[in-house]
Formats: sequence, structure tokens, C-alpha cells
Amino acid sequence: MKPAAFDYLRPASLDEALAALVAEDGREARPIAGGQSLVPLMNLRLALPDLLVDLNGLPELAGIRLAGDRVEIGAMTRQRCLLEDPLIDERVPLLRLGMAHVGHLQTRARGTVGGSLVHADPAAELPLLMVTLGASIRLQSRRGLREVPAADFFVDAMETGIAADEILVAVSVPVAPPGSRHAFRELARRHGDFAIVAVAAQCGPAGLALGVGGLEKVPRRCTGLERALTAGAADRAAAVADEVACTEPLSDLHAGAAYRRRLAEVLIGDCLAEVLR
Amino acid sequence: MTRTDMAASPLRKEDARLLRGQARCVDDVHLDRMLHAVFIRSPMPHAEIVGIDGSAALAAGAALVLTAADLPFIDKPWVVRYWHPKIRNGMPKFLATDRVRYVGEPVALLVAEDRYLAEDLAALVEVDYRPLPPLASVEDARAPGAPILHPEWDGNVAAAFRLEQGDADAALAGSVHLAKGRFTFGRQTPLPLECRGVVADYDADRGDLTVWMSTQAHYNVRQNLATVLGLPEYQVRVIAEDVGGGFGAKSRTYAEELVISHASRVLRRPVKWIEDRLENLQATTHSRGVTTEIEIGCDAEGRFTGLRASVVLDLGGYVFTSGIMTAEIAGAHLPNCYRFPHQQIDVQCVGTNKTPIATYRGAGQPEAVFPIESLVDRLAKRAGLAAAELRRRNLVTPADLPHRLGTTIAGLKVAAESGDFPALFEAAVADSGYSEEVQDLPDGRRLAWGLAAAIEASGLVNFETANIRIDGAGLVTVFCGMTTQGQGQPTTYAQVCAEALGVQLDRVAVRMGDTQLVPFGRGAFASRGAIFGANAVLGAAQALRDKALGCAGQLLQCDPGELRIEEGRICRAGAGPTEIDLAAIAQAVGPGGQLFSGDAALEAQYVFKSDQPVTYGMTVHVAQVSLDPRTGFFAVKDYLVAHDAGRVLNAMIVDGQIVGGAVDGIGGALFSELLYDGEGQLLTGSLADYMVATAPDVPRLRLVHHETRPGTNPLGVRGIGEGGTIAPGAAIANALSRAIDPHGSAQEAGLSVLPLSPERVFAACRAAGR
Repeated sequence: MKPAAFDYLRPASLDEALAALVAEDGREARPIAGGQSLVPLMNLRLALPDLLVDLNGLPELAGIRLAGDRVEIGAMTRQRCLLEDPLIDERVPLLRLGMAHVGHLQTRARGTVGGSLVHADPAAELPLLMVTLGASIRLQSRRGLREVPAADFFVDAMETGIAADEILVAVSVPVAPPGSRHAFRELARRHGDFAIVAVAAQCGPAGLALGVGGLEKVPRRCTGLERALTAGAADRAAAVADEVACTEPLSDLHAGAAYRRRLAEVLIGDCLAEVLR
Repeated sequence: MTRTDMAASPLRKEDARLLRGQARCVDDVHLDRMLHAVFIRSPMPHAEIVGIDGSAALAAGAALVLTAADLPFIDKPWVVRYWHPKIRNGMPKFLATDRVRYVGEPVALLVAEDRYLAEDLAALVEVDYRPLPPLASVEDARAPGAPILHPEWDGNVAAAFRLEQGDADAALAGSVHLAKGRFTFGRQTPLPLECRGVVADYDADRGDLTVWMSTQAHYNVRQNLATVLGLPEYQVRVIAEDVGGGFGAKSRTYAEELVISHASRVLRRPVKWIEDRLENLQATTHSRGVTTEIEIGCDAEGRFTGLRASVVLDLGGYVFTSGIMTAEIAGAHLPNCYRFPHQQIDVQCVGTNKTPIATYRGAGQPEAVFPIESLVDRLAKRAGLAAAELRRRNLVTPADLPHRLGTTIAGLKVAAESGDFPALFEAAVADSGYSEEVQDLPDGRRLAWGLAAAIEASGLVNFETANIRIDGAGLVTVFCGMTTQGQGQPTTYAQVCAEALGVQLDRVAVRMGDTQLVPFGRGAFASRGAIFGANAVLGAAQALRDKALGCAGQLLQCDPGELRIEEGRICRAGAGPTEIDLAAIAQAVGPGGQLFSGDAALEAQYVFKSDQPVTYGMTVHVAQVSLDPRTGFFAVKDYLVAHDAGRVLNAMIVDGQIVGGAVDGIGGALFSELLYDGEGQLLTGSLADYMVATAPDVPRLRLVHHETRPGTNPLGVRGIGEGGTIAPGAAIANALSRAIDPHGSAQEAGLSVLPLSPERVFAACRAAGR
């Protein structure tokens, strides 16, 4: 459990970091943020980067600020800041609710928002929250800046649309309309473990947004269910069952596919009961 | 009953050091010219080794590559202690020779300048395997035509024996009510915080081997090192000063310890090997892994008639150096704390391509208690009795003592000789608030109680040494053949010594965990620290007190019987202190002193031996769970442990041991499971997948102390390290079973497997139609 040899660079500017990521001779360069996922993978030699580009010297990538009707969160913002910043609590309360389930005090103190998003664990809370909230993800490279909707960013389990020369620099989250109601429910084996299934829901004047994590390879935005309920479906339980029936659940040591479906059904029902009047 | 008067709880002497991170664990040992080793382990569950080529690694800078062919002692036998006569061989070699039998089995050793480099170079060692069909389960191993793991393991059975008393078949046939079931206690691992580790330093010019290692049994390791490596025992020193947890995983010798020592001898340099967590989960012995089919019966009055069981242990690829102790106890403890006039228990250890099974806190007792205590609840339903009432009618009572269990452990006819089981049981029921009513909560969850009673064995391995010395300043040092993994021996032994000798606690220092200290010792395992270690200290302290008083009598020209020692001063009966203290006596006895007669110091040595080398006690665990029947998720809301520790040497330490054990046991009941796939690959190779309880998962535990004194040892103590792990599985399963279906039995199949994962509990809910 010792990593293979690698080179290490701690750039002083984003430009320098982006330049370092431009591959030479097929060498793999990877950015490192909080290190809470990448370092264990390196210790197990499941990740073998040739060069680590340490983003911890770039304070401009950290911070939470209000920009019009969106909250912008820098990629290097520590996860604990989402729990502590009153701006999050006031403007994106669902994010605050969901973050309470993320890891432990120690991992939240090191782990970053951007790190969790690019790691893209199917059971992680942050990807689920961003998909549910309709956030957009900002990717910077020497080629330029692009913005990708969270729903398109997550491609497969542990796989996103980020290119090898890009750094996730920020995520932009729409503020919750006044009068919105929020719910976050999660079932995990132990406190702080990755979710077996988690459900996030927000309901306001603009309608219902509901997402499920842990169920499939990527977080699922339940648009079919949202439409059915907005259209005034009479049988809520049937609508939930329809949504869950068309999923392709994961199956692992902690829960089989059929059981995951069951848990999703129960948690979606509970969240809806909480956010729908 | 009140607790022992002297159970003051002085703070632990060792904690300031341990809590500040100043423990001296193996990885804290840094020696000049030290090299670092990595083991190359089998990635295959079952394969022939066709060839091993270390030349590329050596060419790239490895200091040494060792394979079985390089070990001159490869065919020497292990030094084992008690050995069950039915074991059909099947012990591992020190490195795999021609065949590997589990993922993680050590195949070769590579040594380099540092661990990083060693891991790089290890990738260059080419091992050519020819895969053999893996036996990934007991069913695989028993299938017709299955490959045989060792020539002597006919049918892949490594050991089989029967424990019998009376005629169980006839007793069950004549029973009014019967219950039977099949229970599986999943494979688990003791998971010490400090993994295993060895630093070996062979001094070629002196012929001395010094080994620092993380072990519970330093004398057994010394014996193996001396015998297998061909060294005189006096030239082998094993140091295990601070050990970061053992829980049974380090209670015997491992092959790695011999191979690292040999590497140091070959290289003439110190060699360090620190086990990482992946190795720890793969290659440190596993435990539990028992399936028990059991049937019990009772008469019309609810009196137990008979017990018939078949216990099958999923042994893994080899018999480990501790033999098959957990299988023996998993069978022998099935009658538990009840009178079962007729018993027939068949025990079978079946070889599979998995890591070998050895001891883990409780060592067969949790494996016995889960099936019997689950089944007692089921029988109560059949008999129309409350589960607590059926137990009341069958508990061993003080009038039954001494009560033979009817079974044997290590060839000993084991017996409970003291205790008041019914009183302890009633205290647990009353203090917990236990009820067999199920409470429906407004949100759909259900609250229910469950309990489990258990007989508890402690102090299983006989003999321990203590030597106590008083210096010319009157300072007292206790040397003991024990080790400590944090159970508090440096404090409790000092307390026992201070009280018996008559000195202040802060004048007593305790040294242990080094084979140089006393000629003979065993170590800390089998809950023997208080029974054997503390009684050895007591014996030595009493002998030393008598010796000191004899000297004082000479100095004061009076009958020693009129003297006593208080706070290190010699006092006359009925009068105040004299001018003589222990310092003066030590000076008088030593060279140049007026009483010198050939002794180097004022000291005494004592080896404690017990005529009944198992001390029995009882524990009752009561759990309250809250279940969401829609998902199978549940929480343990309340948990009480009633316990009989005998005389309490240090109440804080006793509480800590019981709570620690119960948390370990609750985690084992809820979370911990080593899973293999159908090909024999370990799936739970990290702590993300192998789970133990963490603080938020366990309620604040409540303890009930019920004290009776065992007659097996002069202090009247019982072992307390393991009781906490014994009963949680059954207590929680019984509570869940009640929450799922208070009266029916449809759920029974679902709750027969530990750990109680939510998916298993949900399956039981569904089976019960909830």
C-alpha cells in the first residue's frame, strides 16, 4: 500500500496548472485536490499518475459567492464549508441538508467540492445534489472555458465528461426560489458511509426537482416522475413505482438491485411526502 | 450485591504515554542499516506454483528474494501447544512450496532499501501459477470430485469429532416441544488497529536474534524462532512492548515472523516488515465462519430435554498454529448456561480456499451463543412461554454448582463452579426494562426488546510468571511474562502488587512484553490477564512481603508475625511505624548489606498455576431495536450488559473492557463480514467494505455488575475481555425477530445469518408478510 513513484508539482497559478496538464509523451498528469479518493487509489496502485498537479496552492479556486440568481462554488472549496457557510443555508438549503450525510468531519475538512464531482462515485451525495439542483459545471483548459450541465457531466460510474487537460474550476448552482421546500433522505450502512440509496428533492414555484443517487451508475434526475406529478397524477405511489421500474440499479456487496429499487421507492415516497403539500 | 470495596479506579499509568502517541509499536523501531521487506502473496485462491523467478527484481536492486526453496528449515515442524488429537495435519509451510491455497498466502519475500522500492521491485518477481479449481465454500469442498486440499484431508475434512452426553436422540424424540434451525455466523477478522509487524535484527558475531514484533504470545514466538531457525533459546529475544490491539489475531506464531528473522540472518542487517491493511484483511487469520444446525426440545413444563447439533467450520486452506480452538468451543459451549441432560454435538472443520481460521475475541463463544440463544426464543414460542420464562426454568442455579457442561475443551471436562446465574439474569431483565411487548411508533417503525444469556469462559491457558524486585530506594518493579495490548495490565498489576506488598501505587512500575524479563511466560489472550497475570503478581508480592518481613524481624529482633508493611514502612502490630522501611531492607539484603546471604536484590518470583484452568462466569445482554419494516433498516436504541467480573481490580478498566467488547460484538452482529466471490477471491479487501461499528452506530451502553467470587484463583477474579462480544448477535436478532413478527415464525430463515445486514432483515420482513 505504497504508491508508485510520481512527479509532483505545486503550481502558483491556474495557468501553470493547466499547462502542466497538457500531456507530453503519453505521461498521465492528474490534478490533486483534497486527496481523499485519489490517494487511497494511488496507495493501492489502482491509480498510477506520472505527475500530480497539486491545486492546493490556488486560493482563487476556493470560495462561495452569490452571483445574481446563482451561487458559485469554487472547486477547491472544502466540503465542510458548505455546511458552515450561511449563504448555502439561505440560498441552497437542499445542499446544506445533503452535505450532512457526506463522509466524516476529517474527510470533509480535506475533501473538496470539485474533487468529489470529478471522482463521480455513483453513491456520492455531491453529484446527486448538483444533478437535482440543475447546477452547471465549469471546466477550464488552455483551450478555453466551457460550462456543462451537471446532468450531462456524469457519464458512467467513476467517469465524467472532463478532458485530460481540463480542471473543474467551479460549479454554479441556481438559488432556490423563495417558498421552496426541500428534503434529503439517505440510507447507508453506517453514519458517514457512501449511500446505498439517497434521494434529494426540491419543490417550489418553478416545480418539482427530484434526484436519486446510489441507485444507478450516475445520479438520476427523475424527470418522468416530476412531469407526472406536476401534471397532477392521481396515484403518487404508482407514479413512483413507474419511475423506479424503469431504472437499471447497481448491485454490490452492500445491496442487490431489487433491494436498491425498494429503498429508492420508499425514500422517494418519503421525500415527496415532505416537499409536496 | 455491591462491587468490590477496593475497586477504586486509579487512572491508568500507561495512558499519558499511549494517548500522546508515545507508544513504542513495531513501526516506531528504527535501526541503523535497516532494510524493508514486502511479501509477495498469492493472487490465486488455489493453484500450483510452476515457477518463481526473482532474477529481474534482483537485477533491478532487490537486496534479497526468498522463496520456499531458499529456506533451509522449510520442512521443520511448528512448535504448537495443546493440539486436538483429531486434526489431520494440514499446517502451512513458512512460504508456499508447490501450491497455494488462499488469496494472500505468502509465496516469496523481497527485501529492499525502503518499502516503496520494495513494492516496485515486487512487481518484477514472476510467479507462474497453474490454476486449480477453487473451493470457495464448504459446499464446494464437499462436492463429489472436489480437489482435496491436503492428502490427509479426506473429503476436505481437516478435523471431525463428537461431544456426547446421554442419549440426545431419545431425549428429543420424547420431547413435547421442539425447535430447530440452521444458523450461520459470517466470517470476520479481529482487525487490530496496529497490523502485524516485525523488525528482526540478527547479530551474526554474537549469534543473537532480537525481534520486535506485534504479538500477544512472545514466548510462543521465541520457542518457534529458536526451534525452527535452529538457535539456542537464550539467544532469541522477542520484544512486544506496546501492541496496538490483538483480539486473538496475534495469539500464535505466523510464518512471516520466521521468514523475516531468517532474512535478517541471511543479510546480516536488520529487516522490517509492516503489514498493511490489505495484507491484514487477506492474510491475518480470520475467524467465526461457522454454520450450526441445531435442534432442542423441552417437556410440557418447559424443561430442556436434549440438544443435538452439527457445527461446521469453514476452516480455510490450512490449520493455523493455534489449531481448531474456535471450533472446539463453538461446539462445547452450545449447552450454554442451561441444564441439558442429553447432548450430541458433531463438529467438523472443512477445508476451503480461504484464509485460515483462528481465534477472535470470544473464540467460539459468540458462534455458540448465536444459535442456541436464537433457538431458545423460538422454542419459547412453540411452548407458549415468554422467552425469559423459558430461560428461567432452565438456568443453572447455585444448587447445581459445580455444573459440568457435559462437553470438553482442550480435553478438559469444563465446569462452572461459582456464580448466581438466576440472580444475574433477573437483574438484567429488571434493570434493562426488557419487555416482550412490541411498540408501534406513529411513523411506522417498531420498538422491540431481545435478550441473550451466555456462559463465559476465561483464563484458558495455564501458568504465568511474575517477578517482583525492590531496589535500595524502596522502588518496586514487577516483571511479568504477560504482554499488553492496552487492557490496563501496567495499572492493575501495580494495584495488586501495591496492595499485597503494602506500598504506594506510584512506587510500583510494571514491565512486560519482553522474553528477557522472566524465564517463562505466555502472554495476553484467552482473557487470562487478570486470572493468570494478576494472580502471579499476587503470589510474588505475598512471597516478597513475607521475605521482607522476615528480614525486618531480624533487623528489629522481633517475631515477623508482629510486623506488617504500610506505605512501604515496617509497622508493629498495635504500634506505629518503625524506623525500618523497604528501602532499608533492600539495602540490608543486597551485596554489602548486613543481611547479605547471596541474593543480588530483595526479590521474589512466582509462577501461578490453577487446578481448574477455565473460570466460568455468565453474562446477559439486552437490546432494544427500532425497525423500519419497509426497508429492513434498524437501529440499536438501547443496550445493557449484565456481567459477573468476580472481584473487580479496577472498576474503570473493567467497564472499559466490557463496553469495548460489546461494541466489537455489536459491530460484528450488524456490519462485519468477510465476503468471497464464487471463485475464492476476497471481496472485502478494504475498510470501506469490511465494516466495524463506529461511535454513532452504537447507543450508550448500560452495565449491570453482579459480583460473585470464583474459587479458581486466589484473587477471585474472572476474565472480562471477551464477554462483551459473546451475546450481541443473539440479543439483537431476538429483538429484530420480535419486531418483525411478535408471535409468528415465518421470519425465522431470514435472521439466521450474521451479520444482520438491512437486506437480510428486509428479506425476513417480507417473508413475514410485513
